[in-house]
Amino acid sequence: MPKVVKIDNVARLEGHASVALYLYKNGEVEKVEYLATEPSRAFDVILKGKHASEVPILAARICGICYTAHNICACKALEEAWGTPIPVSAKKIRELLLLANTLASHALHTFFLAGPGLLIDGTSTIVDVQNKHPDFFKAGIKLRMIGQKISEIIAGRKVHATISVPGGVLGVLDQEKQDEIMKLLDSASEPMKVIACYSHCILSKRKEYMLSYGKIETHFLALKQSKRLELYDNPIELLMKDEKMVILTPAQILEKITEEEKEYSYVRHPYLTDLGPENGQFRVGPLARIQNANWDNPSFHEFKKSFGDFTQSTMGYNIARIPEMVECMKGIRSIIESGLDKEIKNIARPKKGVGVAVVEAPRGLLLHRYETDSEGVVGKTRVIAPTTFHQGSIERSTLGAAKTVLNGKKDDCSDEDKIKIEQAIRAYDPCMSCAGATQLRVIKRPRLGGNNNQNI
Amino acid sequence: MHSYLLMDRVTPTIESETDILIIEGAILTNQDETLVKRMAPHAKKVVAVGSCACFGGIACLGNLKTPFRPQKRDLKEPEHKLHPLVCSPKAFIDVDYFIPGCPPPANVIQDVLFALAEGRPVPEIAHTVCDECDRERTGEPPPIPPGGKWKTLLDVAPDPKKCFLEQGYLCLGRQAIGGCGASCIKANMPCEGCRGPVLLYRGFKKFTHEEKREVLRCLK
Repeated sequence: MPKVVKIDNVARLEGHASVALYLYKNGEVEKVEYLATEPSRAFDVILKGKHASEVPILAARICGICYTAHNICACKALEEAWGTPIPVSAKKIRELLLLANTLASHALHTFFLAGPGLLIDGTSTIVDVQNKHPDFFKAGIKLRMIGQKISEIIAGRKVHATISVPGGVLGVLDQEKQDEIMKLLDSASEPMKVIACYSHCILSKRKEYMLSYGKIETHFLALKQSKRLELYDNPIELLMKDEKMVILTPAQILEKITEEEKEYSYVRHPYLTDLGPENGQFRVGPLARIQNANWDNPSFHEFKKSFGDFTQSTMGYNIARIPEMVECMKGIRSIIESGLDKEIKNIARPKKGVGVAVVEAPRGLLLHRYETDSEGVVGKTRVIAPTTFHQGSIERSTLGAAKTVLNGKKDDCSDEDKIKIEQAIRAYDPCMSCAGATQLRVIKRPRLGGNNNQNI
Repeated sequence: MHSYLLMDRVTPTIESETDILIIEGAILTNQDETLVKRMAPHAKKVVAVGSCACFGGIACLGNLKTPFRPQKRDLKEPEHKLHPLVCSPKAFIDVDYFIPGCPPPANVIQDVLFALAEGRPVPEIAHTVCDECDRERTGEPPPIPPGGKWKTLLDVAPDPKKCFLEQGYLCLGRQAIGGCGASCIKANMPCEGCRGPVLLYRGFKKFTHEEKREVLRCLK
């Protein structure tokens, strides 16, 4: 019988998760279970019966970090259901919000969550960074501030900037606000230099570790990238292990995947139905986006030089966020330079229909699906967040990491080993509150004062 | 400091003496309940940050359909079972201060925490979002739209200068606690009342019954 070692409350990730390692006496790891201990908050129950004008505002509350992506994805799905076009400037404002959100989220992960462990050693936290690398600490705060501040300028709030509604956005981005954003971007030159050093510093010190630790073979799913970072609207590419490419629509993703129930977790494990649970795992997020990107910035070239054109390296996620942060800044600048006008909202007329939409959230592809009636009241809801897509991959990477760390040791796992294993999980930047946004399946629940079971 | 978002988990500190315990989020699992019950007695001051921690917020909307939460099959560890009712932590422990909002304004969190750290009285907020809003108002009580049908955000964008209520949009600014600087309204979005009704708290402490009556009288 293998012994079960538990890592309770994996540190430095969003939400709550634990890991159970099954160890044999000789130190061999049999399997790993990634337990999402953050329960489903049943957003499908919350949103059912709500009017479509409220849905994007409520959907943003799924997550306190990628609120913009949920807000915009809900709007896109409802517009898709009703066939509502949106004005060009509204699309630009939404892209600005997504880019700012991605910048802030990546800065949080790079500087506060995963960065300290990679830059110094496994056990260090942001406090050690503040003492040893004050410039790095300051750059992190500055970059996160820029991202948050831009959403505050556009939408009035730093968090839950829910300015998008079906048909467009509510607020005009006038010249004064545009100047303010440009001024913020101009102040970012110093932190940009620091983040360029960051990837160089890590890659030069521990390249072998970055390439092989927790490495697994999966497919990749992301929006098609061009010369700039595309987060809002582009065809979806499924990049297979053998570098073959398949173009999908959002609705096809839902047809192609099966979501497997796990009795130990609150979150389902999706995989490609054709290929089965073993071969059909796919990953999303910065690593998937960078595979076919054609950006032009030094961090991107450094990434490609170190990891190659096509990489399966799990720790590569940490480095792939750096060129994206640079691209976010460039993207915001180019959108504002391209000019915005005052036409930001079309009238959205509810129709009976089904809408599926995806956007690129900071952690990867986010999918929302809504059914509405002719009045605009929402029926069934489905949200598949990037971390949901990652469940199986996280488990496999953790298994690989545990095998490396515990190789040759007895059936015990010291605190130091646990922290090392956690690093493989942290590379994915999992957000457990998104992953458990909607319920797992049709759940029978008890009704007060009766034995009748009611389906949701 | 015990916070597993920023630090590694250091279990022994859970039950050590704490100056300020900050609670975020509603109680969703039995484990959450155990955790707040373990930590609260060792804290000198307990502050609930965010609408979910103050009064349940959006998480509690999951209770609306039936009083029971959907029961998922049991997990391996019993401590992670879903709580039968989603609720705010104040159902189990005494909360000293409430900072509502979704999200709570950063400057308000700062004011409250600094006041607590320096031993000053915590600032009071007894005005509504409407008091902070600088849109044009005619002064007339807002008309109730014909048939009780408010305009929704699916229509054209609202006029950025005029009062939302007078334009026919449902704006909760008249009831909601202020302190946010009417930030959503400045971005042309009607107030969602994310900070809760002004009748609930004053200076982040709960109103007594008499105080509530007094406020109601003033509002009339």
